[in-house]
Amino acid sequence: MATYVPALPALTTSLFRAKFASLSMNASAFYDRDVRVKTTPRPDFCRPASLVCDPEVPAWLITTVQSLLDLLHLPRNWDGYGAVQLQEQIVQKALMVLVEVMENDAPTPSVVPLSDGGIQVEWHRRGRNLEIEFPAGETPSFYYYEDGSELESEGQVSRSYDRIQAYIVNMK
Amino acid sequence: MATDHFDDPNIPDAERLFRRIHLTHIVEGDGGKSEVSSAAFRDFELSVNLETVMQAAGREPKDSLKDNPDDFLTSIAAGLCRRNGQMVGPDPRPDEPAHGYAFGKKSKSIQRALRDAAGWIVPDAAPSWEQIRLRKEQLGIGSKDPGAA
Repeated sequence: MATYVPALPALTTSLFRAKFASLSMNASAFYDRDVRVKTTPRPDFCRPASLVCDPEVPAWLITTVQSLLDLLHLPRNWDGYGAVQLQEQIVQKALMVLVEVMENDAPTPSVVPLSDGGIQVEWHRRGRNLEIEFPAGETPSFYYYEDGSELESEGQVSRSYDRIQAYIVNMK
Repeated sequence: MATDHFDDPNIPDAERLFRRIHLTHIVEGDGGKSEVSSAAFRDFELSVNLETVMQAAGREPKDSLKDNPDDFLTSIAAGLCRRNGQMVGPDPRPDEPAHGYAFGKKSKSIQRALRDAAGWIVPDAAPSWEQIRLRKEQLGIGSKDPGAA
């Protein structure tokens, strides 16, 4: 029998609006919602049976949410070096930031777990590299660099939405 | 976890430190290549296996994967860690006598330096992104193809 567990924001047309003038519009989809993902219990863990998606939802978001759901199932000590499990609230925070800074046709980031329960999203395309780190108990930060160049830039995510947005646009 | 970290002068700069890489820490790079995420070299106390201790016990580097056979294995030189402000020392454990550490704060540029300098041990060259993607798919870890978007 399927059960419903609180998880990441589900993806539906009603929750995700296309971006127009304001980049902050999409993030509002994740606030003040009791959104649930349908899962099917298994003996050792729960795994989402399905994600409710709509064609209007950006491809990167569907893929990223699926990756995050996969990573949320990693057990304690998933790396064999004592890592803790991913924290759901960090995943939600990361999603809200991504929705703010990414255009609908943005390239999909890779999502990797951090050993402290946080996550990092990253892009490596055409010699350009962007990493956004969401650590546990620390302020999210970004790091940008280009291959074969001294150029690198880093800072806090909250103060740098425009720069991060520009870096992602240049990844296309 | 060690509590009294120190830089051990008996560990030469040329000594290789073996670091396991979890599948989730391999990401898509440029041109169909895979790449190790800097997140794999982020821990303040970065656990490694010391080459000389393994050699003295007659163990091969790949034996570092004995308890984590699905992981990959890379190596970095102790000297590189030191040049990036890390203390390199031993921390033998009952289940891994060759265990050691590269201890210190790792800024993003240091994580990147360690990652860029890491050499592949198992496999002996970077796997293709397609190989990694398929393996992730099999294990249900980040199974979608980021390149699809």
